[in-house]
Amino acid sequence: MNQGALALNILKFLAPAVPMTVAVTVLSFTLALILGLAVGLSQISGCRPMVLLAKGYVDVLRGVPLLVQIFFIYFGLGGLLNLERFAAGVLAIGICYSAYLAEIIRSGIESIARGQHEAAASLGMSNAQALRFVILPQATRVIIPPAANEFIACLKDSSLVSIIGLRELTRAGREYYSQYFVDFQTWLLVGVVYLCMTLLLTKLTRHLEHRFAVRGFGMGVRR
Amino acid sequence: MDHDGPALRARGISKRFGDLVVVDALDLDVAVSEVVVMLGPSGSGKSTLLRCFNGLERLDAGIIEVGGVRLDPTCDTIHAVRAKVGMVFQQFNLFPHLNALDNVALAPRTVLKLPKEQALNQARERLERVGLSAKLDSYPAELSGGQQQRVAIARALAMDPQVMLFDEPTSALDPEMIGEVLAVMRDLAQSGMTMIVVSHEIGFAREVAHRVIFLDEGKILESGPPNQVLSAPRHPRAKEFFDKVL
Repeated sequence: MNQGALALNILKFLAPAVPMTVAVTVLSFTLALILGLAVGLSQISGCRPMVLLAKGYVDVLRGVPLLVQIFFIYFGLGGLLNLERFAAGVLAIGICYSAYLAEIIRSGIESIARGQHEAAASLGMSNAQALRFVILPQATRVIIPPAANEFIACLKDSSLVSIIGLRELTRAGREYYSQYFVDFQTWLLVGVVYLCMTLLLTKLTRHLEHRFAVRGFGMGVRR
Repeated sequence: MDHDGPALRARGISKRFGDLVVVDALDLDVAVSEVVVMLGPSGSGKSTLLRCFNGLERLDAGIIEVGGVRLDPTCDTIHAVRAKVGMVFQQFNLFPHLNALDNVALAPRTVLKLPKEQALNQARERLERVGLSAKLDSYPAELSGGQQQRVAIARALAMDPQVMLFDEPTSALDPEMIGEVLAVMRDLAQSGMTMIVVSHEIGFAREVAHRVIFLDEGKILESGPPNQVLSAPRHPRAKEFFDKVL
């Protein structure tokens, strides 16, 4: 088989696994965003038990390797809760990433000047109204670039769920290798497919940053 | 206004930061349509006192009433009372993600629940009043300091406040822009707005204020018509201060 045909053959073998990689990434990151927002807001809620709980959540999840968390949730909790591989994988990545996103969201909100809270309050807005109409719209612009980094990292880390037998891109690569014993080209192409997806994401996030840019203010001036 | 008393009444209010007493058992009545300018050395508690008047600072003692309604930062009614007290900040504090029109219309839409069109029309009218009809679509970063401060005044006016508080409104401005902001404030005073102004603009105090208050160490040391307080202060601390700044 010549190199071109071999590459085509490998790509054909890998292609059906791409939707699983996308599904794990999108679902776990969505979960991470929701949990991250809740934990991030808890950290600045001023309610002491909630603050402590949220800080503990972040410290624990950031301090344990994701792979260990996947094993723990799939093998440890999975048996008790009857979790499937897919659910366990999405849950593990989603929870782990929510800790990083909580920090990003918290620091994004805290980066907004105190005067903005005071201006909103002086106009009679409640805390919730100030958060929704004044603080979050500004914080979003600060949050997008680091959150986009996490999204890309999340896509790459989705390869870890290959270990619990989910047939995503990396798993498909291993299967191809164990059938045909072609290592160099297989892993090169697996890498290229990941790279294509992350570059696509980078483009998407640039677009988002642009959309949230404000004229004459902060990054990405739009005229 | 539907009550006969003062627009703002403070009784025995105190504010401490740790051991430092910033506002010391202070009483103040401000009548409807009265313009009060508060002067004093830096650290005399002027800004803190002003921030007590809309609940941005919590009192350690005393009570404040706006239009006869108690201002209580621990109570849910605080938002309703605050909506009746406009505040203009030294650093403008406009919302940078919104254009001038939306800056002014946001609180009427969200707090007063005005329909969108009504809020926008009212915002256009307020911005016209401060001379910024041509800048409705401009974002704060595209406006000069003086223009930003005028948007901030329009934003506070959009809530139809009973009292307007000004916290050193011209201190962050380049000299050539101070005049345009003071002109807007002068118009406002002439229209009968109740105003409490912390400022170092002695000329404004002399010309526009009905009453000048000299504050030091959280206490009112002088209070009276501008001519009396500025030209013939009785308290030695006030005398010393005015000798330096006049």
